[in-house]
Formats: sequence, C-alpha cells, structure tokens
Amino acid sequence: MTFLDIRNLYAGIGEKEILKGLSLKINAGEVHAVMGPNGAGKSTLSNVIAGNPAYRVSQGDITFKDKNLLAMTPDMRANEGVFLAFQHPTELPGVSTALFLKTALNAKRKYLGEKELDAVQYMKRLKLRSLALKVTDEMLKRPVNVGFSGGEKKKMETFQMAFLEPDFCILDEMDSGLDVDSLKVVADGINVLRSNTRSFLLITHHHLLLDYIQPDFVHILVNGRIVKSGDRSLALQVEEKGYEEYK
Amino acid sequence: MKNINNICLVKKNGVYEPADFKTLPSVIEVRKNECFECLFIQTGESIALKVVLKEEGASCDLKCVYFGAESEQKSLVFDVTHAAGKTKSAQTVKGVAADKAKCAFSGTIHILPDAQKCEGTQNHRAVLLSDTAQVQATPELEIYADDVICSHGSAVGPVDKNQLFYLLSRGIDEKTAYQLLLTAFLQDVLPADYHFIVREWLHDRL
Repeated sequence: MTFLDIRNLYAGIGEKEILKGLSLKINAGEVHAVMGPNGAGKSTLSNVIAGNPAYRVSQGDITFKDKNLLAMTPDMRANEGVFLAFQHPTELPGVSTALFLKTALNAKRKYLGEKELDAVQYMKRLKLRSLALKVTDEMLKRPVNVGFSGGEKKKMETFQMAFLEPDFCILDEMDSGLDVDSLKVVADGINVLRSNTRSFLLITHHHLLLDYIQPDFVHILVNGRIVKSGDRSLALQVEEKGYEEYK
Repeated sequence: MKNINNICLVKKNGVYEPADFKTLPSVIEVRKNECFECLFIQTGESIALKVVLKEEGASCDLKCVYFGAESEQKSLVFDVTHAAGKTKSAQTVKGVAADKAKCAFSGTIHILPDAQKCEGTQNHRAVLLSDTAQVQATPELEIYADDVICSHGSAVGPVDKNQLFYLLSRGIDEKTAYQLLLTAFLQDVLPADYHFIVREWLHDRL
C-alpha cells in the first residue's frame, strides 16, 4: 500500500520557493532517508507534509493512503497517522507533559471513533513506553520540553512517537544535537517501532543516523528537488564525496 | 457564554470566597497590618476598584483575568493609594482578547509624600487571538515619596504560532490547543477551580 505520494511539489515560505518540483513515494513498511546540504529544502519538506501553516504550497499534490493530505488541517493529518518529530521541539511552559500526552492520545482515539482510555489504561501505556526510552517520571511531570536538554527533547519526541503509534513518522534532523549514547537510545527506540505497517522518512544531512537506523532507500535533495535515489550505498558515497557533484 | 457576569473573589482566612462586587465599598480602606486580596474574573462589564492603604503595614493584592470578545469594549481600573509608610501593593492582570474586542487596563499607584518605605508592583500581560482585537495598558505611577520601591511591566502579543503548531501536529484540535495554551498562560493568576471558564469562553470562539 502506498502511504505517502508526493507529486511535483512546489512549496516555500512567503514569496520564496524552496521545493521546486519534488516527487517522492513511500510505501507501507519502508524506511526512506532524504539527505541534502543546508538549505536544500529538507525542513520545508517535513513541515509541508505535517501542515505547518507558515509554509505555502503553490503547486503539486500530496496524498496519504490515497487521501488528499493538503486539504487536511495539521491535527487531521496527525490523526490520520502522520507524525513529525521536530528538529527543534517547541517548549510549552505551563502545559504538563502528562496532560499533553493524554490530550493528544484521546484526540486520536476520538478521531478514529475509539473510546478514550481511562486513567489506568493510560498509565499502563505511559509506563510501558517511557521505560524503553529512558523517559523518567520527573520528565513527564515537567511542562512539555521546558528545561529539557537537547538530548532529552529528542528522546521526548521519540517517546511521543512510540506513545501515539503513528503509521508514518518523519524524523527531522533527529541526530542534530545528540551525543552518540543518546543517538543510540533514540535509534533503538525508533528501530523497535519498525514494522511492515509503519513507514519512516528520515531527514538528515549526514550519514551517522543511517548507521543506526538503516534505510531501504536514500534520496539526495538538492536545491528543492530529489536529484538522485538509491539504496544505502548512496549515503556512503555522499559521506566520501559530499554533495558537490549534485549541485 | 455571552454577557456572563464577572466573578469577584475576596480572600478570607487564606481562601478566595465569592463576593458581590456591588456590595464592596466604593473605596476600600485597608487598616494597620491588614491585607485586602481579591481576584476578578472579568468576562462581563467594566470594573473599577479603588484601594487606599491607610495605615502602616497595610497591604493589598489585586488580581484580574479579563476576557474580551466580539465587539465588546471593556476596561479594568485598579487605583491604589499608599497613604501611609511601610505599605505594600501588588497588581497582577492577565487578559485575553479575541475578535474585535477592545480591552483597556489602567493601573495607578499613588504614593503620598509621607508614605516612605512602600512597595508597589504592577504586572500586566495579554494575549490577542485576532488581528483586530485590541488591548491598551496605561500604567500610572505617581510617587511623591523618595524612599520607595515601585515597578511595573506590560506585554501584549499574539499566541505563539510554533506552540500552536506543535499541539496541532500531535492531533489536538485548534480549540483544545488554544485552551491548553491559554490555561497555561493564565494559571498563575486563575485558580484551578476556574479553569473551566477558559474552556467555556473559547466554546463560542474560533
């Protein structure tokens, strides 16, 4: 089954066009990596898929499980199964992490016509997922991302992903600001979520993350377009030669 | 939730209790070592409160959370006079304005010439939910004594778009997202028992 299908996408911020005719197809169970130099449009791609209103789509289509994604509000996209792990997770002072998670989970269950979890079921699920990702009770009591280190923020993004169980996960520069140990915890957390009914889009500018989370496909994004696609060996070529030959 | 009445709470023995604003004296006089503490939840009409700290050691703590929407025009006036030395006052105001509402806060701290060693603080913050909502803050400090500590601050701005998008991106609908953000914004002034007001007020909005 095709999850994400992007066709000839043009998008940007304000007057500035950043993506210039990007096409990408991701099927269920696949892990795709998009690599590219700074300014290629990697973050624009993840924000446009998630529906950030700061970005404007001027041309092209995106469907998700054959539904028109561009017609959906960001919260609908999330409840349809799209999850964006942010490059820079936003701090929400005054909003407790526990309340935030519960609200998000119940929003999705309501959208899917399922009953809201009661307190016991909710705590059970929280405990199960937090243990694996080394998210402490103390972190859950704090306001969302407030006072978290860079590593803790990325763990929290991964934890939210594990907790909400989306079908399609976009990881925007998951490796930035992470030391090797934290990267391993986060990568392990992602690897256990891999299944033939869930797909991933890893957005990164170097190959280190791809040593830990091995992608099925690698795409090179330069100047708003995918200029080359291949398997894992493409990431290693970039590691050796850089992006210069694609510019 | 249109034209709902304001809620007025006055602290007695450390607990806020509902009070009828109309039965409060037109000028509240606070005596030696007494403290007057009140909290308004202003969903309705304009409010003006005048407090005089008459004797040494008197203090007051005035709080208000105001909500304005549609084409409402409302004002909040806090007027505190330090008439004796070693008196303390605090004004803490937070507001939310939506649609085409026009809200105004005017906070005055008078310190009379003989009222030395007083402390007066005033803090106002407001969030605008639309481009057409307006909030005006007018702090007035009239200080005639030279050995006092006074401060005031005001900040008005829109809801943080990144915070809003972060919540939406987790599947939370816009109204609930606003509710979470506004409750967080107001929670240091608005007691938990009254958080439902935010939800009810937002119900007709957006």
